[in-house]
Amino acid sequence: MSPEAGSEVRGVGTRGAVVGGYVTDIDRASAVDGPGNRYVLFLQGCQFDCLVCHNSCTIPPPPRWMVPTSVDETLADIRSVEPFLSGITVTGGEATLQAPFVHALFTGLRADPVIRGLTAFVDTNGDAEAEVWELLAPVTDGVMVDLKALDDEMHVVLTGTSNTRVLASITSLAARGLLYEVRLLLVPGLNDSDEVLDRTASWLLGVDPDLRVRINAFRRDGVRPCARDLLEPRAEDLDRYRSVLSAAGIRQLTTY
Amino acid sequence: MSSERSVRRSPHPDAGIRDAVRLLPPVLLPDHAEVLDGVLDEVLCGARRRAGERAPGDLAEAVAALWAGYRSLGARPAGRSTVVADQDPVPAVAGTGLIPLRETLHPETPHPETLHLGALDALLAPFADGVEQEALDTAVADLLAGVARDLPGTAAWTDLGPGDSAIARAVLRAVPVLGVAAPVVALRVDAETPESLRRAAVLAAGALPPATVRIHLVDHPAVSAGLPWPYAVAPGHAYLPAGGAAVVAVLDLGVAARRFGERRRREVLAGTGSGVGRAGPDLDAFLDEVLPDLVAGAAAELSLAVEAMVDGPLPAGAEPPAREPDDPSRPVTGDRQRSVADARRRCVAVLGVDGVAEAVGTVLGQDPAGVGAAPGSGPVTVTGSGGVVDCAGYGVDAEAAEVAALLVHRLADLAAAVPPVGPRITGPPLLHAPFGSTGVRVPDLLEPPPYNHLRTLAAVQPAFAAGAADVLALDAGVRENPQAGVDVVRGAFACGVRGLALAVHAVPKVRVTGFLVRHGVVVKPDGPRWR
Repeated sequence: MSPEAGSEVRGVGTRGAVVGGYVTDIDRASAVDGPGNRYVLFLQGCQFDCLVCHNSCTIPPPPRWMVPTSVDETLADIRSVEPFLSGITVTGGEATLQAPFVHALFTGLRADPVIRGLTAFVDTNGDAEAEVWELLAPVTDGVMVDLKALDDEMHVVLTGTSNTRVLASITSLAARGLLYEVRLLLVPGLNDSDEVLDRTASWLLGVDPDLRVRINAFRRDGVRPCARDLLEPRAEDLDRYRSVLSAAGIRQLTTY
Repeated sequence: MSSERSVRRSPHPDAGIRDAVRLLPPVLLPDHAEVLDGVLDEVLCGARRRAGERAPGDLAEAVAALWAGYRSLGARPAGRSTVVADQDPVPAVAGTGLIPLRETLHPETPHPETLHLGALDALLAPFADGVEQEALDTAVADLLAGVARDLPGTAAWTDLGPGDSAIARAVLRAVPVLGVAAPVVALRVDAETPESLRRAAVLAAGALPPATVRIHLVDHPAVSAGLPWPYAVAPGHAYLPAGGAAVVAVLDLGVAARRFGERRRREVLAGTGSGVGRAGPDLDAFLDEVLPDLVAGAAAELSLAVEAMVDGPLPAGAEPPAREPDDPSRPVTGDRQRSVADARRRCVAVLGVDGVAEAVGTVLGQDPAGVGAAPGSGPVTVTGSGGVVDCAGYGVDAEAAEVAALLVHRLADLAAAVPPVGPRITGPPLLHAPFGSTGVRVPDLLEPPPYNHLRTLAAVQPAFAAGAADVLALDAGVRENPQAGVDVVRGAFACGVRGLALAVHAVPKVRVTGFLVRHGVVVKPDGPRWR
């Protein structure tokens, strides 16, 4: 499917050529958004309304005043710092809501002789239709998916949305060999019990026995006032998370 | 020895531009071949002789020999530092250059003494074959812990690489275990250095407390190409001759520029000057009038320092023959003689340069103590070698960066034209930046974008043939993703940076409302600061 096809699927339809992406912020040197040092684009807009989001200003759709950033402009900026990079990562907000832009950007990356060696990653909440991954798969090297909760009820509490598409995305991306990492945002008292962690690990291992998992410890920095009373994991909590997930069979485990 | 002390402590009588030349402890005893022989003997030959003319037979014996040697070096008079050459490992004892150096390269270092352990991977490699990695790790950690315990207050340095080895990995693994008691490790890298070894170095840096600098990376091909001798990395990230030594003076460009500015003001008031604040004339005058005088003054100071250390200049060709340490009547022969003679040829003069950023601000007509304003930030206070100075614009002001490069490269050209400053000093003085290329450390929250910082360094570092003490602050994310640090360093080297010390930011980076900010923006920083 081309990005110009005008599909009605969310995130794929463009009603015309890609004019650019709604970029909230750029980090040209990130050590936490995929393998190696990465150029990171934060796109505006997310379909989730996460209670614990620390990027909550990126949730609303792009405001009228926001000027889209062109693919060429972005590629030129990436070229300027290419010697320092392993790759680029598009995140958000939710990157797949601007899938045509991401596709055009990654396609341009692969066509550029200076930066074609960089890897192209997507950091996503996973709430995307299969067509989005069909579009992006040919030009994407890896995808990192946030799994806020394995239980749908808790997922709705945390994000306001069902996790049906998230789980399907994780399964689909693993089958395509594109699933680089699943990230578990753990909030004490909500989704961090031993039983939940063990069950989550089992499900993930069923998807990919060698799956790479990252524990994202909830931090209060930047969250909305309604979430400021939530607890942050303590060091002993993090130790327990690592212990339970490792015991369940997760071999590649990192913590952020 | 006393003459060296007097050189170091005697105040400069002149109140003029020579005040800008701050003489640091000489790090060379150029005429002390017997000391060289003694040190060689103690560390390696002595251990062998005590063992009945038998070379160390296994790793434990080799470690014990080194340990004993290091201890004996540490017991030498205060201020003695040592560099072990790496070109010949332990079995080739006779060819291993080991030269006593003097103290450290700058007085602000927290360690009054330095002991260079040599290239431990080369020294111990012959004994590592067939030894399990766990046993290697234990032996190396014990050796390094023993050095720290037996020589408290001594800063130990070692070089590794560029090739991979189990010893190199054992040293890097020992660093986080030893923490602040760990030696400073300089990993020399080239195209053959495996990524995994580079990542091990980044992991070692990341495992240390924030802002702790113990790991250095060196672009080995670039540094080697600029030096006529094999080098060791010494305090201040200085590239000194392995098995050789140096005499050092430091020139404070910031002081010189301030005095220059004051003189220009007086000239304007008297109606004889062209004015302050006009970058062109002031910059040209600084380059053409002040810098040559500064370099000439520094060269004179270096000559005085050399004269103070030796019993007067030696006539040409009057080199006394080296003597065997246990039989001074017997000259050394064969490989040993060549080694000693070669070491004597590797005594260099080093001209330290400080205050570049302050000088740039002054000659650009900005605030006398400033370096130009960062866009939108206004003056910023940073810690420089001379204390707290006002400084901004570093790494973000293209004109300031251009002028800094101009100043430093002109200094290098002027220094290159200076003849050897004393007997047995090889070549002209080499430039070194003991406080970093710009002479300032920008604290957390105020750094320029990292690539700007590195490109600013890349423009000036090649002029510092003897190295620059520049620090690259890495995000704490490298603890889980060390390749990120490797990538940044590779990019820096590709841009022209030749060496960097690595540390992890004292203030972590977090994401708040879509923007990446330092944690200190939302939580008042309460951590250590860059020196």
